[in-house]
Amino acid sequence: MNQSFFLDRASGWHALHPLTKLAVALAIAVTVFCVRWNYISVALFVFIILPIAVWAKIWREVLRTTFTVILPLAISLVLVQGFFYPGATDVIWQIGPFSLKREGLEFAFVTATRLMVIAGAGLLVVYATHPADLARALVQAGAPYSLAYIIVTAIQLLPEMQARADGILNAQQARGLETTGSLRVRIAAFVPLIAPLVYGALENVQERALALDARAFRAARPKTSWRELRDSQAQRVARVLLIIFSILVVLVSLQAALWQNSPLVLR
Amino acid sequence: MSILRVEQLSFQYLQANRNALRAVTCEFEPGTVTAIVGANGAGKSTLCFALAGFIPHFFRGKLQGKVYVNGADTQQTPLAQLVTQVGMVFQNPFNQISGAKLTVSEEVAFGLENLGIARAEMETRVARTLQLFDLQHVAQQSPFALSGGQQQRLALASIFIMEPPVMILDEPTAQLDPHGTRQVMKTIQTLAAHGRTIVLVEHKLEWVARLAARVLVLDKGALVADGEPRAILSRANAWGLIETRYARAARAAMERGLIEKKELLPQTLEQAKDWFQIEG
Repeated sequence: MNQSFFLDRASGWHALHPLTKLAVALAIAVTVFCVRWNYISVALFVFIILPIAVWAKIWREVLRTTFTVILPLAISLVLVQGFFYPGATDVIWQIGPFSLKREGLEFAFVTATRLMVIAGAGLLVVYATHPADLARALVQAGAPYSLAYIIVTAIQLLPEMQARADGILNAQQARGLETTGSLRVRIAAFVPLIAPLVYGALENVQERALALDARAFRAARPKTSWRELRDSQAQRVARVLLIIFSILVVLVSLQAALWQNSPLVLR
Repeated sequence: MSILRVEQLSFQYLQANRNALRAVTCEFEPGTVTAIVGANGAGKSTLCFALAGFIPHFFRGKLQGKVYVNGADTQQTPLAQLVTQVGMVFQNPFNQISGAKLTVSEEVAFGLENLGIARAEMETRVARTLQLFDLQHVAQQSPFALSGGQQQRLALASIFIMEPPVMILDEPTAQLDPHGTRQVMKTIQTLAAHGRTIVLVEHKLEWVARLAARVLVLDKGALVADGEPRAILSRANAWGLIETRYARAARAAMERGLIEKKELLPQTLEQAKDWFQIEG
């Protein structure tokens, strides 16, 4: 069983420094939120995220996870916003007392595709970066060691928590708990699942903290690394450019917010 | 000179209404294996935490007395410095996996990274340690993919590699099956053979009898017995401990009048063979 999100593939994207990958993800995330054009998300996903995913040989996993996460959200957004978007007037479909409106659908589309891009960009980093490299890179970038550790273990332990949740679910089902069927049944099954999961996790916190201390986690001295991070001048320049680009996009977006008719903003 | 010294140690956890330890005094000689036994709540883990410096650096409470590790007062020495002198391994192997590493090799190296050990030195130590703990064949596997016994050996290896002269093992086999227990106990024998000072908390008295040169008994936070394993374990019932199968067999034989009553009961197979042969 794979206990991590990291997919060890031989690719140029994998070989990049984690901070370079994070800078790309940041630029994508900033762009998708700042550029006011309804199709920017789709454009970014098709022309940036997917090609990188193909290059990194992780496109199947990126697509599968992105759509698994986004599809339920998209459906609920379409239903809620499509029918109940405040102030919408352009009715495109009437079902009894309810009317599906264009403005609501547009809002749902923009929101869902933005989330799709954020998820896709995040997965490009998480799937293609060894967690230890990510932690080391974050520390290099000035993040506290403990914060980098928390971020990495949170990512790492998610699959483990999933496995534990499955175990608890199986145990509850073996004792006759109904977990399939209507929404009400599923919600009722959620409590007996989540309570032992959360309680178990909290119970382990103390021993985990002790075990970390026993391995000099809080030693106030420079750390070394079992793995070597490779970087290059070109990547350092690329990171700076990506950050400058992200800042510019934010500034232009702010300008657009202040002067609504800015020609720099796509519509 | 003793490597660990405990002087009149008493400790009460915050919000507890009684002392977990009461005026415990004892010393541990370098290169020895000492077992600590006692019923649940006797204070065994608390004594371990004090020996490893987690009391007072991690657990807060009312502390009296002193613990010295290699002459250093644990109250005055930072925990990050103490871990190079005293390593501690806990009950649950799963909780001792850092969660930040993908392979067993990386996991073993985690403590060395925190200590700032150079990579070349790390590689040497990792290779040697994996070999010693029979983990070399799983070096590239995920720590989460190992069996319980392997995970606990990984936990032992992860502490051993930091080269503390003292290792405190708090019920390292509590959550393991007999096969895993045997694996871990063999590993502890290896540690002892490498000259480490071992303090072992263990409920499985047969293993205690086989591994330890000395046994301490804690009862309600107080040190009530300290001596040679066979003599101490022959009185296991007095402290609510579960006797070994050999001691039970011997006691049954004595109670049925098959054998003359003796104070010293057999605790291991070898002792049992000897005991029944002589008396029988």
